[in-house]
Amino acid sequence: MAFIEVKDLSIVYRSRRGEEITALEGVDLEIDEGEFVAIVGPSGCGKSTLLKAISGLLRPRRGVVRIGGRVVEGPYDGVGFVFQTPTLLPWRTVLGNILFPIEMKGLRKNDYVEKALKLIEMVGLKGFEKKYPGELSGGMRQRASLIQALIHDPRILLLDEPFGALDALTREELNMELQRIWMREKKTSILVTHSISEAVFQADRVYVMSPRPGRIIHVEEVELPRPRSFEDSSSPEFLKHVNNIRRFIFGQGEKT
Amino acid sequence: MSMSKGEKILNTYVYPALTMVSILVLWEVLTALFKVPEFILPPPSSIIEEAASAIDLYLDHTYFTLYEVGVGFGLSLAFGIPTAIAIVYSRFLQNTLYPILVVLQSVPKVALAPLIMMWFFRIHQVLPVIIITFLISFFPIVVDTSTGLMTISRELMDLARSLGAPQSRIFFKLRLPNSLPHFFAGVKVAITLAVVGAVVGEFVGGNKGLGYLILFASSQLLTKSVFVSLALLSAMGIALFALVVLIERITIPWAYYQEE
Repeated sequence: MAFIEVKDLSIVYRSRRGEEITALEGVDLEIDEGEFVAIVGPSGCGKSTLLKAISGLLRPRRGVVRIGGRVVEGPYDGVGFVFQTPTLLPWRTVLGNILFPIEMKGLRKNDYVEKALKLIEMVGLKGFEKKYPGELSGGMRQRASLIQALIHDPRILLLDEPFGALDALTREELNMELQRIWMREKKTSILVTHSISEAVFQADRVYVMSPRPGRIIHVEEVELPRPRSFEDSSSPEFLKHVNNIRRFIFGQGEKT
Repeated sequence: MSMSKGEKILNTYVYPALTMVSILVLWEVLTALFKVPEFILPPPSSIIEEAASAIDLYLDHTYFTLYEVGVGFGLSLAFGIPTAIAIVYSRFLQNTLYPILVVLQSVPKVALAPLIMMWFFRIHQVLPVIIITFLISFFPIVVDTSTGLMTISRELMDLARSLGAPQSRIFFKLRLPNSLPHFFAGVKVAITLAVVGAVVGEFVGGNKGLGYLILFASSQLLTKSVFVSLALLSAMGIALFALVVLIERITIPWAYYQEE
């Protein structure tokens, strides 16, 4: 049985005006432990909703999410979240922010300081431990958010458009960083992104979603060897995957 | 735009001070030149003279007004903060009390002064002044504090929930510090308004304090005295505001990093 299993998942929420909106309909996923999968799709197709449902922050209308064979019924505490906007608190230093999840879980901060410093060094933020987020660049903030999600050693990393707000160069840099982290830690990861090439670059498997209500319309297996570099993204194999996915997103690939 | 340190000091302190001094000199010269009667516009020199001649009296009234401001403002903090917290945690209050408070905030509380005087004068003479001061500074504190407590990003709340944090921890580690910049914005408005409230209260029914002194002195055409009171009142307002800014800088230094 797969580590993360999503079966026939449907999510319905109520808009401000009280209408019911179906965000996800009949979504099935199977993700093995240590796999990296990406989810791409047009805006508003429910990609983020899917992440929230997997982490147990949202209750499904129908269907089920299982992690490690257990049905997820409330917030699952083994996830690390990275969002598009860095979840750093302006009143805490970098170190204090990295330790924030530990405090939220009610664990002893002191037991994790050493690990936090190691992570800080790993992403090249050494020397910035005492700085406040307001003193950092956008890229540095997102690096800090990335290791903030790792501090409590979660089993699953959920990345919700983590680099969406960064400039193209910083984005490339952080994608390399993410690949490095993943190859080291081999955490089961789900990346939601608008960028098809980012998805192909990172993932073992890319799920393509339809516009709302979000359904999985295609699964692209990516078997390119790692580490992947940005030069690889102009290779024929890479482009074949990108073009395949693009066809499905723009609705021309349904018959193939 | 980069400024050297010397330039910055010149721009923020020296030039404004020089302007101030020039205005006073001009004022002195013009009143002498045009022989303006003292009861219309006394020259700065005689205002200073007046202040020096009865310094104890003026300070006595200053302390009294300061006391009214302190008590009224203190009460607005004591009631405002719990009210804000209650609003944030109660859906019911959010739908009932909060909209009313927002609407009431735009009602000129000054216009209520005579009514409050009528109701509370008999209980204690200073009570109505304190109530007016309290009322006028209560609203910005409640509205800004509750706004601060409510404006927390969805991502942060999701993160906290995914980590299984209980509400109490979310309040103390997330909502409360997050609300501080808004809270201080409210306090800055409130402390300025509190001085206005005390003066209005004294206008309507006081028998002591700088507001009362201004009213009394102008009825006697003691214009010098009016000006001394005005100067003391302004100094008090500025000092209180500066004190709040100082406390803010010490409590939430991080709020200033973001602007830079």
